[in-house]
Amino acid sequence: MVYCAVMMGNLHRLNVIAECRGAHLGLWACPPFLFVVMGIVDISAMLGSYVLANRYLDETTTVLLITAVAIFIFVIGNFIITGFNQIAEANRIKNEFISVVSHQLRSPLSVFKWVLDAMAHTSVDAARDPATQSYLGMLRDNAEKMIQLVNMLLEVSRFESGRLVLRQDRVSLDLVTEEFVRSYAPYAKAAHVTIQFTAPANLPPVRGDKEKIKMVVQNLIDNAVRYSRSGGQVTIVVASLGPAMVEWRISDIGIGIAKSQQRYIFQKFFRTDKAVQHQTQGSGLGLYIARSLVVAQGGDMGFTSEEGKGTTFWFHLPAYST
Amino acid sequence: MAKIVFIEDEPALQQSLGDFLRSNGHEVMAALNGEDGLAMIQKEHPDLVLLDVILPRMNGIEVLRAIRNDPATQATAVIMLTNSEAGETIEEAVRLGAKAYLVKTSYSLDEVSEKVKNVLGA
Repeated sequence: MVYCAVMMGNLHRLNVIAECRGAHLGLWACPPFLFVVMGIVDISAMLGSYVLANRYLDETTTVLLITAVAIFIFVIGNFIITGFNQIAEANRIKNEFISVVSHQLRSPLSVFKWVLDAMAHTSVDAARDPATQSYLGMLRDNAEKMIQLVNMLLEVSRFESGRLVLRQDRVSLDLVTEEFVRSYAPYAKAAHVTIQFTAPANLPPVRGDKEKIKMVVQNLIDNAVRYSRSGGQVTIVVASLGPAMVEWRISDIGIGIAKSQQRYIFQKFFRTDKAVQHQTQGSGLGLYIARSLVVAQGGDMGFTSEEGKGTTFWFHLPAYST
Repeated sequence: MAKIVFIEDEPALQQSLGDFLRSNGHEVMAALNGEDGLAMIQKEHPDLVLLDVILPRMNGIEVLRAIRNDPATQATAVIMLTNSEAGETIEEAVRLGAKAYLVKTSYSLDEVSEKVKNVLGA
């Protein structure tokens, strides 16, 4: 049964024409289509040459025929390489585009942030009126959301263009976690979720980029609280995993992730149906970034989940050895 | 309190942070481009320079290099305040002795002010 399901899953991938249309590529610039054509040409050329050479042709004609077939295969091969080059180029332009747009967005966003800050601090009476301050608060929250989104896009673009620079800090996962749990407490309280955190006293530090590790921890805690039920509990456990690794694990009692959607969970821009129904926020980039960052630092990330019951996410990072 | 030169080409940022630091008791002088900023630093000998990176006429790194190359200004404390996070720019700024490299969208006015206090106190 499982085998059949996998086969069916792969079968739709065999429809290369649909695949090429989906990618907005012309057939002769679409590598999957060209591979199929090349495969068919290869097989028929071998069989055809064999049959023709055996039955009808003299040596010279056979040589000419094989040369013609070789040229044909070479031409198709060339199309394939051009197709790949175009895709690589499109990908580069996309990264460049994200990077330029995000940087350009940062300038006006920093103006919003600081001007709103200044207005919140002002001594002018009109701006200190509670209604005005509440409106200012809304603007600040939303400017902050946009800043977060732009930061995530920049992270993705740095990642995909190979410009990500990672520091090799000595990081205490327990301190990083504790610090964030403390600063996050008001949000957790507003969501009626309690966060429980345990770590052994002799937890070894890990090796990695402190700021990036913070991002990962924040993202996983934020997700766990966000998709918890009201009155639920989120449990974080950090512990050694053998001598060389440290494991960080977070479990929630929440909406969980449907089986059918689990394999997409670390894909860029992916949001589960449930997430889209329950939360307007979320870019679908958080887990993609988190996992990419952990893997880039020599670790790994995964999860187990049951729909309607809850989810456990974990990541491992190498212990800091002197 | 302290004398600060703030070089920033965006007037709204200059006004919001400039006024904020003034309300904390600092004397803040502002320049809208690198050349004017450098001239101001050479004339005023501030305690601290807040320096953007992408600036007209002379960029922040060039200004920082000029500050370090002039014996009269080379000990001036500098905080880079920018939205550009290019690895090589950060490395160059650190190599040229910038005290901090702050991404504007990641810092509130209070946090910038706190950094200013720390650098001036050090």
